[in-house]
Amino acid sequence: MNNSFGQPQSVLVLGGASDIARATVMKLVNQRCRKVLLAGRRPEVLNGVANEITRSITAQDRPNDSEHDYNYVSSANNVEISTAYFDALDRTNHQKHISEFFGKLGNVDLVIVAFGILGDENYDDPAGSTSVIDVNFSGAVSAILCVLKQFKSQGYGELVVLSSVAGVRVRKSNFIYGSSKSGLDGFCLGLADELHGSTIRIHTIRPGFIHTKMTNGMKVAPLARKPEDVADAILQCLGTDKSVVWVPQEMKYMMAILQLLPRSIFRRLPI
Amino acid sequence: MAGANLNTNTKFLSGWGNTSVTNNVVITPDSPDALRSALRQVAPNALEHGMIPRGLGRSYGDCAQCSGGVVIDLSQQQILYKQDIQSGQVTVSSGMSIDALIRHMLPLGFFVPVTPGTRHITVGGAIAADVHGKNHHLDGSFGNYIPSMKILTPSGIVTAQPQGETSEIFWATVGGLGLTGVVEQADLSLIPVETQSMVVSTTRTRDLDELLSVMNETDHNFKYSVAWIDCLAKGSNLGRGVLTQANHALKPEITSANNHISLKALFARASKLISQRQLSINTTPPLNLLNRNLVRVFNEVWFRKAPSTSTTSIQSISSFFYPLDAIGGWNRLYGKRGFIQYQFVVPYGCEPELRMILEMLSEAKVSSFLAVLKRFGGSSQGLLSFPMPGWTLAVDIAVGSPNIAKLLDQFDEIIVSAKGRVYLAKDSRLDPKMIPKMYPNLDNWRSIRDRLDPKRLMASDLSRRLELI
Repeated sequence: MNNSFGQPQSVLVLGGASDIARATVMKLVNQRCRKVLLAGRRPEVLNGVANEITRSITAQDRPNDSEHDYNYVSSANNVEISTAYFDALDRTNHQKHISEFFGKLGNVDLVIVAFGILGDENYDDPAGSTSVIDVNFSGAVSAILCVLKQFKSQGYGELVVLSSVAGVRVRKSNFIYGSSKSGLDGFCLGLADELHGSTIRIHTIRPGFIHTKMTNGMKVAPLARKPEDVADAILQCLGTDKSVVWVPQEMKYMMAILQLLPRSIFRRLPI
Repeated sequence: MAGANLNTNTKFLSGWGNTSVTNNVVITPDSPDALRSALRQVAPNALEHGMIPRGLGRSYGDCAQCSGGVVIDLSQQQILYKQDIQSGQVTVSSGMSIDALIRHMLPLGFFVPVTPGTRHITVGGAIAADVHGKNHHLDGSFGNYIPSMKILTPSGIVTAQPQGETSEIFWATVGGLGLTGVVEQADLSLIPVETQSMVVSTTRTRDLDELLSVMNETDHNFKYSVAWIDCLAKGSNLGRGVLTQANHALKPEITSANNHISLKALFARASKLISQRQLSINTTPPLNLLNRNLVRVFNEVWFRKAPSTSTTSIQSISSFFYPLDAIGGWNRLYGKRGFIQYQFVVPYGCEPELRMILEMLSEAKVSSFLAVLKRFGGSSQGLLSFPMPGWTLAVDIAVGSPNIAKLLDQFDEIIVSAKGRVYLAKDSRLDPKMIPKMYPNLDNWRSIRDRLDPKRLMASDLSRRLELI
């Protein structure tokens, strides 16, 4: 169950190999989180992430950021991290898998929808391009709606969905990825409004350029941040009604300006 | 036609602190028969998401809600089955409120034996939390005044008493947070009072040492005693406070007070205003209005307002016991994110730990509109009851104060190492791993509870969060 401070005790990650999700879970297990299920396509990657998170718990056994020099003892957290198979493209089985995940975890306080692919923006390859849409948009919509059903049955729940600034105004340089995130972003905002005032919350996270394995080798964009920064922003919004989270915060103002530009100028920008 | 009286609603519920809202199916039985048939109908469905009884929803945390499951709202059943005006013993339905009981019994010369800071609670809730009052140092907690109660447990109906064969079930239910079943009715021993007034002594103390020593030396002279602490005060002022101690007024004391006509008229007017509840907060502001600046001003005024030398006055029962009831819905002032009340007890001899916590609170600049210190008497026999001999401090804290979650985790560690505990009925944020350390009878309680509810139908958001069951 969630506590008053919005600190979840059980977390399901769809797309468990995501660097942002991993950074978030690492922070959550140092609060109240004791049960984590990482779901994704490749078990060997997920198991590696699970081990990494477990190691980080032992390493941070004693909180070291205390401002007080009183002696107190913090015992090792008793956290259970498991992994399971989940494929965003396999939509017919989403309902079955997600209800199994809920059955395994009991109540699920937080679901992080973190899966997504970048694609190669090769529009000569219609099949490859639509698979980006299938994963990032259709797959996410299907997964979110399945999670929503479970949340309604358990009476509460919190969803964190990784959108992207690329979806806020779609650029020519990555319009396939951008349009998939644009669709997802719009879906999440509409759903957040639909759910407003209920016991289910959805937070749409709009990171800018984040140093992850997905962006590895790419030209670093301005205002680039680390996965840990996104994790901090996610932790801050949990338990609040904040439905859109920009990382970094300044991205909000940069995008506001970009959105005002007429397309005749926007298309000429080297972005 | 068993379902004819089954009044079902889907509702968002939270505790008095307005945090952790969840969706529940609420059943409001309108008679004892309806309650029994509702339980029969609900039981099969409760297998998945559980069920829990609820009274007037004054517990701060999530102990009277059951997300996705069933909440049995008993507050509509206010039945006084029996009253004995010789002994002062009454038999009431568990939904009977302390408010209704006082309104009925006080004119007959009886008052409730133990009362928390609000009269808007039910007898069932008082049993489930084993509530304490300002008289705990002498009289103990609510469970001490229940000669018998009838409990509808999932495995059958039990009439439980504090001694004898059923005593295990009785003391698992007192303080058992509603998790052993639904209390249908209870006997309650009221106390005789000569008047409806209190003789109140008010003492201002300049720091924690003075406050603790005055309480230690004088508490035994008063049936009721409680101290307010200015938790923003620092350094040499740390722990400064105002101590109020009181006894029920006897008839001659009231007569002598009659000489001051104007004063008496003033009290009468004030208490009338309070009892009519003229002020009520009907909407929730988006932000916390009880912020640090306001609390700082309030604390200064409240401290200065108290006479520097100890004085005695006559007050009504309402204004002495229930000052906050004068403002309906005061909990909304904390804004949308709500607030928590953190109450802990540390044994006598752990004054340094108490001081450490107060220092950390004032250092962290956490403002608490209500910080209340009290001396507890003996332990309760309730297996999960909160009171134990020692100092108990309760603080209200707005959710959203920076770093507050971590600070309270540090307090928990200090309290556990001092062999104290945190009050579960008010909790909404404890770490489950702390519960066995704070409540050593937990396993015993679990085994008794499991016998009463082998299929584990009873559950609350709190029981799941703290892994009690």
